[in-house]
Amino acid sequence: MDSGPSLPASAPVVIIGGGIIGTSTLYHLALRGVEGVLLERKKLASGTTWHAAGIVGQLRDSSAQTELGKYTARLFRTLEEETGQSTGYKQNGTINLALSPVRHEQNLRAHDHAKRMGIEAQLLDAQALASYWPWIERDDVLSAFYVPSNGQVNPLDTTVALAKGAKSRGGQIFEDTKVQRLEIDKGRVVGVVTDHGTIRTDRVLLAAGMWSHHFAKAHGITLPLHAAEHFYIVTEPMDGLPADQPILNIAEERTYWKEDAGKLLIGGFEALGKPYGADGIPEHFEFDELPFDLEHVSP
Amino acid sequence: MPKLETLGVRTYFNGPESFTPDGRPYLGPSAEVEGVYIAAGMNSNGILNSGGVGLTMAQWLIDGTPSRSMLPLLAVRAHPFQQNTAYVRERAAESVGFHYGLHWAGREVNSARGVRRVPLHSRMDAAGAAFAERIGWEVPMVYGAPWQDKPSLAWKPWSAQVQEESLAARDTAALVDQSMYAKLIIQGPDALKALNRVCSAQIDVSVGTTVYTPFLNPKGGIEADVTVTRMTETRFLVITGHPSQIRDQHYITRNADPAWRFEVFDATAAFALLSLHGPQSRTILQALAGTAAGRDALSAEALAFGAAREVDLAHARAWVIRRSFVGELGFEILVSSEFVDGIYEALMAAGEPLGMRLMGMFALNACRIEKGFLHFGHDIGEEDTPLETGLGFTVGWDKPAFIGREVLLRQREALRRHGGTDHRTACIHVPDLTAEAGPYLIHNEPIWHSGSIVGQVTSGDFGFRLDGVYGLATLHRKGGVTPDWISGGGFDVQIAGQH
Repeated sequence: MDSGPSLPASAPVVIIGGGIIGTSTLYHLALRGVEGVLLERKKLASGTTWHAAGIVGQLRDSSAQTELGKYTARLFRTLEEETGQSTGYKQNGTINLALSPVRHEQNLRAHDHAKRMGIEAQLLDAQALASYWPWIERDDVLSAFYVPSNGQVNPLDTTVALAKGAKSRGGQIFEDTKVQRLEIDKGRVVGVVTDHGTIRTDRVLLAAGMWSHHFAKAHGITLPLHAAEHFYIVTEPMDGLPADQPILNIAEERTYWKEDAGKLLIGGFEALGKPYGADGIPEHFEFDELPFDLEHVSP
Repeated sequence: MPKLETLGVRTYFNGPESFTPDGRPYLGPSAEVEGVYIAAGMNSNGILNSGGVGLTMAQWLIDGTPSRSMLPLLAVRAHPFQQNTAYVRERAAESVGFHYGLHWAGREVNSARGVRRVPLHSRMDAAGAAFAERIGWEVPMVYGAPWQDKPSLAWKPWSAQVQEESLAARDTAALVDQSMYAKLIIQGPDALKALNRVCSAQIDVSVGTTVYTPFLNPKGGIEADVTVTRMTETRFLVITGHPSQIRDQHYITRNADPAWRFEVFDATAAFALLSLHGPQSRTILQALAGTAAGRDALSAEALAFGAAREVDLAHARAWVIRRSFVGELGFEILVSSEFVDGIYEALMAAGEPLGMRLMGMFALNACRIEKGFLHFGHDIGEEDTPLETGLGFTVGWDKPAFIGREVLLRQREALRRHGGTDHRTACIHVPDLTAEAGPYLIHNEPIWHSGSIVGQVTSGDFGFRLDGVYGLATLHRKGGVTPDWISGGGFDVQIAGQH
């Protein structure tokens, strides 16, 4: 076994999974004075967090969820200052195009909704859209919904910043520590068993992303999710692409377009995706990339 | 679309992410193991969710409850069948496409269908039902109009049928299969205590009475919206919406004293539930009663609003509960599943000559909005109290302690002083709009008064019985949303940019 610090015998909270969700929870527990323990099978963010596009939209269906979206954007602004760790956060805004009448009505409704939520938003006219995105054809654009305060972040750096903030307040992180099972007594969780020993606890957060379904199922816990492949391409460096280029969503074409270190990153959500890991996620999985499938993503 | 054909591609990337059957994360306590909380299934929104979810999960883990309503995201909305891996795998492919998919009433899924079927499913299918999937259930949405993927936020390909079904409820009768609703039997010497702790209403009623009641949380907010029928002294039937099947059981047991002797039995599959609405509904039901005494048992005198009786229907015994979610004369028929085919045949034989129609969920929803009946998850939730939502009539002020009582007492005092709570649910009607052209109220449309936004629509649709656009809304006013302020008028709703 490795020579790292040994696990504590007990903890007020054990978090399973060192992605951005688990790490953020560890950080927020620490802010409240609760020194939790986070267990990660490989390295922080090595599952799905590290390769995420990192787009930070704030507007949600409900006031409660929108408040949380606004909170996330605020946190990304202050985290770097607090921890000294860059998060790559920039407030470059998002633009959602409508190419069909129904989508156009939804843009109008979203604009109304943003007003009530206190999120500044604009419907761009053709000229304004051209000034933000001169490279696109605009003949078929019925409306463009612009939220200047949305932005993007570097997910891996943000996870590191959250980890740093958590650890400085007493949160503990154990990488290369694989959780094997929960100990359950009379319907209550009492411990977490790992390949490095057992931690007694009565509070566990399962934040293991695409691993969670099978782990939960092994304990009779319902958690319906499954991994699917997500595709994006990054172009060669593009002249004249500013760092604060607004992110573009073209729903009818199922793609998003964002600046990424002087290049364009173009990702998509296909109408029908490709499930991944039908027999479980491979044991060795760590910062893994999957084979690209040009045929699958071609329109 | 962008004119970038000349730009070379440096990187082709593919990496996995987690997707859930309804496209939403699962957050909060698990139903199955105490102390295990869940935050997973981010559907490619993990980064933008991370701050808010981390904040919320820390509250949950420390305080036992989040500070904001997480209603659509709760882990306890899942049904245990969703542990099935083939189901989640097939749906995950389609969940990817929820991103950038159009959100409209007719949005449908095609994968992993037919998982949960009501006992009359084949008959509803034969009757021309268009089904939608809800947590595995095949739910009849409308009859006689097949699904068409023609997105619209106003008139839809099946609106003519929704209109006919709505008018049948008003003019003759409409029959709804609601068997996918959850039915929970709470029984034992302390069942009453367990229910009276979570319910705002007094549940200690005479046997054969149905009570409409919310479950409350310590802030007086609404955790569930159910009916409770007292079947015997120690046996109660809770009927709740299908998304709350697990959640409501969990809420009752989690809040009970461990020493109390009672059990929760999930009888969802054991019973079929039909509801019959409209001016002819009693006549149709009485045609199945068999005897004069049976017909009398269904009379207005014998079966008052809210009463529940076990009666003869066709050749079966069924519980009949006088209540209607569409706001007409109406009855719910609860019967052990093996009898429902026989009762259905008898209802159709008696009802069709009188003009009875099958009604789907589109019409049911449009009718309840028109009537101002609230829907849990849209119009009411964890941050709304009964006094703020017109449900003050449910509160059993004289019953022993129940969760949220202290908050309600304080709110009642404030209400007496100011004449209104700061938040209040209201019914709204937008004049001069047609079913064909709209625009419809749907959700989240801002409501203006004197140059400020004072609220928003929580649900809305076209109401065919009254021939207009109707909705429910929540209004806010410091110092109280009073009847005078509302009747003073000057309200204006903004729909898709138009006032």
